[in-house]
Amino acid sequence: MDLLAPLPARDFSPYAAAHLLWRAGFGGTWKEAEELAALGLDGAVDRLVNYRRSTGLKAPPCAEPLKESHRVFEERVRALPDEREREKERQVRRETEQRNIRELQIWWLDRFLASSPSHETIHPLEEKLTLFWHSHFATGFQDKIEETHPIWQQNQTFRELALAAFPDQLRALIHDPAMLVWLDNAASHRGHPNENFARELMELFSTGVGHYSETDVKESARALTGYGIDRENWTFAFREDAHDPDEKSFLGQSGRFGGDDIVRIITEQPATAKFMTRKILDAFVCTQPGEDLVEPVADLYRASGYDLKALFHTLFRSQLFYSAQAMNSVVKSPVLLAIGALKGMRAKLPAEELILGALRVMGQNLFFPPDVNGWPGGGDWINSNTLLVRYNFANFLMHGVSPDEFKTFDRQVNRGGNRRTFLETQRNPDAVDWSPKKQMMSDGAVRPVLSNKDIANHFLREFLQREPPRDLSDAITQLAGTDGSGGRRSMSVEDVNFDERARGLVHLIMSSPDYQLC
Amino acid sequence: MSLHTRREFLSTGLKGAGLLAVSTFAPAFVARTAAATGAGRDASILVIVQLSGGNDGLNTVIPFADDLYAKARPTIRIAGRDTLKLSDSLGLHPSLAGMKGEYDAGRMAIVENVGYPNPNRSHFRSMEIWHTGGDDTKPRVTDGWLGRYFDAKCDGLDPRNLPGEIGVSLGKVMPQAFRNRANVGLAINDPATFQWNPSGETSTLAKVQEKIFEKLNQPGGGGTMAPASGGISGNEPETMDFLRHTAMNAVVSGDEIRALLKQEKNRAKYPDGELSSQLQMVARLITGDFPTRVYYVAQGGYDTHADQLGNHARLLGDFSQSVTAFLDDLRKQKAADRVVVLAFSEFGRRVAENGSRGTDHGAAAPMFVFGDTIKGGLHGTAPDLSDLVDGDVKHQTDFRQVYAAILDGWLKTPSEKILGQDFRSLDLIRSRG
Repeated sequence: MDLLAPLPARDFSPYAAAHLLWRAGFGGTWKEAEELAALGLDGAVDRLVNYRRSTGLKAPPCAEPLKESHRVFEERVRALPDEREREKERQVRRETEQRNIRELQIWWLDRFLASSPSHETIHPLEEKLTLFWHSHFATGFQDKIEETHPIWQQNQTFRELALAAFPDQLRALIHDPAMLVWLDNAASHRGHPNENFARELMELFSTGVGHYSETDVKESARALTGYGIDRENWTFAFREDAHDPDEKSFLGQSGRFGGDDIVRIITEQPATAKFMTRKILDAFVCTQPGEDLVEPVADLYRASGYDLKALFHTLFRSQLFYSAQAMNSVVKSPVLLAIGALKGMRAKLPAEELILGALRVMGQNLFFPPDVNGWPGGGDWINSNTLLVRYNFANFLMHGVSPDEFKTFDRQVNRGGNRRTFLETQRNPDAVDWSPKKQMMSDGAVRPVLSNKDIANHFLREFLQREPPRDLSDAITQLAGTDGSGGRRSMSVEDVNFDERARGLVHLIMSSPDYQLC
Repeated sequence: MSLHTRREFLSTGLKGAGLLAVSTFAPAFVARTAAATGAGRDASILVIVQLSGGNDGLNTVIPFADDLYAKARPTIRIAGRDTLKLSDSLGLHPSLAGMKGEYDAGRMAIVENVGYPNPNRSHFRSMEIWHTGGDDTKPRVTDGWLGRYFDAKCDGLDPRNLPGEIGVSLGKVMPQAFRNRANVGLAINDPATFQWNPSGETSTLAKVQEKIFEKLNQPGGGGTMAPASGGISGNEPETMDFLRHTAMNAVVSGDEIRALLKQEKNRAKYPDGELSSQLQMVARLITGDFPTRVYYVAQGGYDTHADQLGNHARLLGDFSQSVTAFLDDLRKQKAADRVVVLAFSEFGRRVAENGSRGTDHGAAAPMFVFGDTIKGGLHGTAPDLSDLVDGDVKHQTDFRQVYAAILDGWLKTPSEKILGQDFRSLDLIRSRG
């Protein structure tokens, strides 16, 4: 277990702190990395892991329960004489909720952006884990739920239990109204159990495939019958008459099991600790961890009663976490890519339509996971399609170019070939406000003489936040020495077009494969 | 492709003013464009339509005369008089009118009761099985059956050998079926975003930026069949190489795809919808001789656990109208004899309905093959509803027998090599003149 031994304190450089910020949060400015490094390894990890939980957070207005409950609405609509009228009412309600869920997406993205190790109430690791649990226990707004309130409820549950022991998280999950509707358990009743939730509970949420039989699926589905909701206020409701109280036999144990027994038995399985450990390591430490690493960490995790806080304390301080195997091994998710870039620019969130459109085409539409398996992440974030969209997003951040594509994305993709190209699109008022020069001045980064290399390295440090690979550093330096006419002329902060040229450098930094990793 | 031909391609290519004027790397398959007029016309093309979520086979090809069917489905059965009759015991779902026309013309094959040993009821594992051509009785494979086909072509197994050819998926994700040694298939969602744009206010500065962009995204080695490990392995150099290959492939092919989509026209009336949009693009790429033989499209939503009837009817209607419009389009443009369409879903659904007027995950289900050069009609044997395992029908035809028919008969590549063993090819393809 040498790999889990702590990093020598002197090795905790600002680069190491930046790495920690990317993984335990959403990146940050170079200044934040320096501040974090100044706390020392233990202090920095403490700051990130020992946060004060956001319990009892108030729902934003978009996520309050609808004034007219489902039942009242249905009664009113059914009483309308004309089918067209009824359909119109339903459409209005659907559109209201679609607007609300978008506002909730923005609400959450704003939290990501505001989160910081020094923020009083919005904690990077808490939000990062809430996002992790959202993908792990993936629940979608579309098709079945279509109301924002239960989605927010679930989101807040994940937030409050972000660092809770896994059995507590699973117990909350089998009582979560959004999940019970999403996986059809709310209507499951004795005699005709619906297996959807029971199957995913093991396959995707706990043991992983291959550690249970078809009989176990059927038996746990019986144990979960009657776990329903009160649709009036989206609360959990146990329906005694629908529950199958008879004896079940599940994963080698027998009894008149209900949901809590199923959770207990599932979390007793070594497979569960391994499955979850693999997932946690893959997301937070190193991509595709080997079994030789997963096993000892899983033993540790299970032996501690699934103490996630202790686990992160160990992992984030470990030599493993700062090793070559772990650093720059994770492909940034679209959310991490976008929020990290905006943090580096110290900018506000771009217009709602643009940021949501961009995230959607990059493949991460919050509250709309592709399916119950969540976002697979890793290499699956990248294909020819999404990689170019990432590069184009950089162009948008730096130059305001291409928002049309994000806006019109849903409309008739096959007309794409006839649309304006980006080059024909002029800078637009939606461009993100950012002055590299002002930022440099306020950071005291402006010195009397700055070489092209100094300037290139300044922006590499601000945005890439790692020791830049030689070829990247050379390329950006070369660009810094090229003026608007293509001739060679050094950049100077005195130039009237300094900001323009600096944005050009950052555009290229973000159009590199290096920038996709953290 | 040498620097010289690359330049030539860009200056004489469809788009003319290519952006990447100095690339020393390009996917080799793009090189073929220059000669497309020669090879394009005899290329046999495969279009895969994935019905995601698990299509209810029994309510698609309906054994209406079987009492066991009616008994198992008190609220969601479809009565014989409502089906589009194929025989006195079997009928198509009423939403499949367009396809029934294809069937009657002998251009649609229904392969009944297709599955694999030890059926897996997980969407993800079962989908993986269909994509890789493995199953749970064998060691797990992760590369795709079409990826292996491309690898085999690369090794010269295909006599017509289009070097460096890769599959094209119209959608946001890359199907696992394409995964191969190089792992650089194309996924295209919106052709308009399929390019990298410099930001320089002058064209000279823009050129410098392009050059630097290319340098940063230039795959090491420059080989056309990338020896990358296939994606993300936790090894940074390999991950970087994967990212660079992906970027270059995208940029170089994007130019051409946009040009083709602009140049080519659809000549049939398509319905609205995502599947339809994808197929419209495929039709244009085919008539424009884009140099690949394999296209992948998908339609989601088949996971009908609750209130199945209306949803399923809508899905099948969309499927049928989109595919028949596509075939019609190709026919009008004299390209139909070059194309075979294969439709599958990761599994069928449980024979008995559940308590929510829906169906849970099941096992075997029918597959569909379309084309002017196929042997239409019913293939395989109908499911026996009196002989179930765990409430599911037992498969009679292995899906790899269908893959083998496509590989041997259509793509002219020995299927045994691709599928790892000799699955008896079904007789689905008419020999072409």
